[in-house]
Amino acid sequence: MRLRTTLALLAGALLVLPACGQFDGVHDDFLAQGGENPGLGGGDGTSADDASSGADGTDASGDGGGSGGDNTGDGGGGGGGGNDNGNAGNGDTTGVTADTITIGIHAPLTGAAPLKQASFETGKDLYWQYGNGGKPVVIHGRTVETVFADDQYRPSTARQVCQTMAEEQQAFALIGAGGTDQIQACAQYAASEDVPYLSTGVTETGMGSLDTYFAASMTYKQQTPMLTDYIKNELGVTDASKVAAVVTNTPNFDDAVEGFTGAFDGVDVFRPDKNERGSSAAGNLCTGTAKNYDVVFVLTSPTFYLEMAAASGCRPQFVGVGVSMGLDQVASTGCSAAGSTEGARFFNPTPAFADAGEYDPDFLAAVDAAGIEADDVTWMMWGQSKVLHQMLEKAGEALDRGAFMDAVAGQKFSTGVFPDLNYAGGPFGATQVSVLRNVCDGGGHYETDHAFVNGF
Amino acid sequence: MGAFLALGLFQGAVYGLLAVGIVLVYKAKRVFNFAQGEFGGVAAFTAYAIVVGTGLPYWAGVLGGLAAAVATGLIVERAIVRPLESSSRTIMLVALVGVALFTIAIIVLVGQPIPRVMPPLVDGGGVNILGAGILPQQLILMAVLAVLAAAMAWFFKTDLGLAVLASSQDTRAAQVVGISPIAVSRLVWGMAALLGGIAGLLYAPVGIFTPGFMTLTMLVPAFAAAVLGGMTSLPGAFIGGLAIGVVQNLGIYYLGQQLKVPGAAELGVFALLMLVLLIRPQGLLGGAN
Repeated sequence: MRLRTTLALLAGALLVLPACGQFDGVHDDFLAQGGENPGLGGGDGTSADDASSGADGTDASGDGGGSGGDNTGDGGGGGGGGNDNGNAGNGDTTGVTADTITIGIHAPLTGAAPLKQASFETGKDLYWQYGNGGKPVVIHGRTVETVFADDQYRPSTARQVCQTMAEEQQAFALIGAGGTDQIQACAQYAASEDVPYLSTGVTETGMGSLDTYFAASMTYKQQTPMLTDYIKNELGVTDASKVAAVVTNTPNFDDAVEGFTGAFDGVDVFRPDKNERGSSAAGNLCTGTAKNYDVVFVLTSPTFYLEMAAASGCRPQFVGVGVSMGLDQVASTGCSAAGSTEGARFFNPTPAFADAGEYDPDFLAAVDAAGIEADDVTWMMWGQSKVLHQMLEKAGEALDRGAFMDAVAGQKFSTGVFPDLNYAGGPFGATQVSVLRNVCDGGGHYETDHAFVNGF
Repeated sequence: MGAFLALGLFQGAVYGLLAVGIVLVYKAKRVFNFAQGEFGGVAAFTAYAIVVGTGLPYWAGVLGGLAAAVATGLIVERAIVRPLESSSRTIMLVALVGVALFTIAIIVLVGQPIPRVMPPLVDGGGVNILGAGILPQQLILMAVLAVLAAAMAWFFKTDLGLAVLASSQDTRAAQVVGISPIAVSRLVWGMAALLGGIAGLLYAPVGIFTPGFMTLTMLVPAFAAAVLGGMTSLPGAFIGGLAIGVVQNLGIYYLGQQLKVPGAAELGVFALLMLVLLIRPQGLLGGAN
């Protein structure tokens, strides 16, 4: 009896603990924040039409060109204002030597939304080693080295690895490659230590007030009104009763839900917990093989989405925003589950990997030069590195963290891989998305339906 | 609501199948087998590698997967369980948790932590049951669960099953009458691994599987099912599994979606577990100690 009671209590505790949420304390500090990042300088600049100036100067006098120059190939964005005194350095040159700049990257290689380790191993250095016509990228005489850490899809781990990269491995700036909660946790740490932080756009909750944060693509809140226009105008579904949203029940997705329901009043919203199975959610979407909804907006972990799609025998049209859903691995897995994700459309920072050569031939040249097998993760990291390159270029030769942030805030950047960026209004500077379509022919992958659009 | 009920039943079938394996080991060895889920993981990944990776026929994948699961069970029995036979149950429990984590790590190392889909045993569209589209694979799963639970219950009435029970109650006395404790231990762990392997093979084509999928998502509900059923009752584990699946999904529907209660699935199961144990401490079909 005593043994059974002990076992019952143990089983009960194990059942209850997951319900408490696995991301303790991450959101609490952020929820009441928000606000706008006023930027650290500049802000009045205007875009330069000529993107070829190369920006070799050491200060931002306000009318510099983009960062294109010799290394980036396809020109940079316009020069922003900058301040009259040049980039205001703060003397923090952590990670910067006479010859190198060290960058830290975190992403989930394990956990609920894992990305392929091999892709990161080959992709993290591809741009920096081969992005200059097959040679290493040189920024004001320095090359770039990277360090990488698996955040295990856990915010607490993300914060820890970011701290390790910034403080022990001397990373000058940090990049978040995916995972909303992890990006938020690392961005919070980075802001507390004045470490520049760049990620793909995720939630805006608590991110707007972080002085060192810059989103390299549109946030969920920015994308969801566009998504409703896409559903209405491109997919032709205007009846709200035919549209549902399945969004994981985390405060970091609340802004996405508000954006979606605000623009599409009357849609049904389901908020499954993180520990729920995707197959259970299918009970809402179908009655047998009959559709309850024509279009389903998904913002969950990829495994949840794939389970839900596989269990939804009625095959609704899935749409969504973000990064991880747009990975070919997700498309491939969904296709192997009886084609359950075929035709799904997701907004993405970049055009599809299948079309990479069309948008940046330098990428394929670099892949050839490196002799690696590239994929969409590599492509995404290429684009993000290219954005960072332009930022570092603009920060000038006398690089420190203060100068970097001063050079980025209020400025414009253009890479042709990630959306055009304009940080004049704060850290959420992107205004474009690409739309990817899940195609199951040929093994399951995404193709580009629209590239760099800002409305439908 | 009907769809959630049906989905819960079929999800509960997997819990039940795992729970039957857990009860088998507990009944025979008085050990809480936290490695039970990974027998299924090993079977699923091995079968996937054979069927999808090498293109061999499905039956070869099934046989290979089950063989890998049983081999894992026997290795665990020889390398972990038998040396710790005289240790406390806590040490044994921690060691088996370690086995599960180690196995997951090996699968991650070999197979990469990416989601996969196993082709189903039987193709075909879903059948509408209470509004849920239930796949043929899930119907097979339910049938196999019922057959195995009945077979296991019958097993403990045979001479061999009685020998297992005798060995668990008094090893020395069992030895005196010619029952080898080592042979019994091998038999029990081999059978438990086989049951886990069958659960993994039947579940993998239903959903998406990643390394650790059985342990991380199935094991805790399976333990709850075993406790609910009475911990020593194989039919109880079967019924407990179905009950847990149904309550989880009805919890999602009523508590989560209607009342917006977070953690609804776990809350429902916890409430059920506490309620049953308060009213009937020995579990649904367990005998009073």
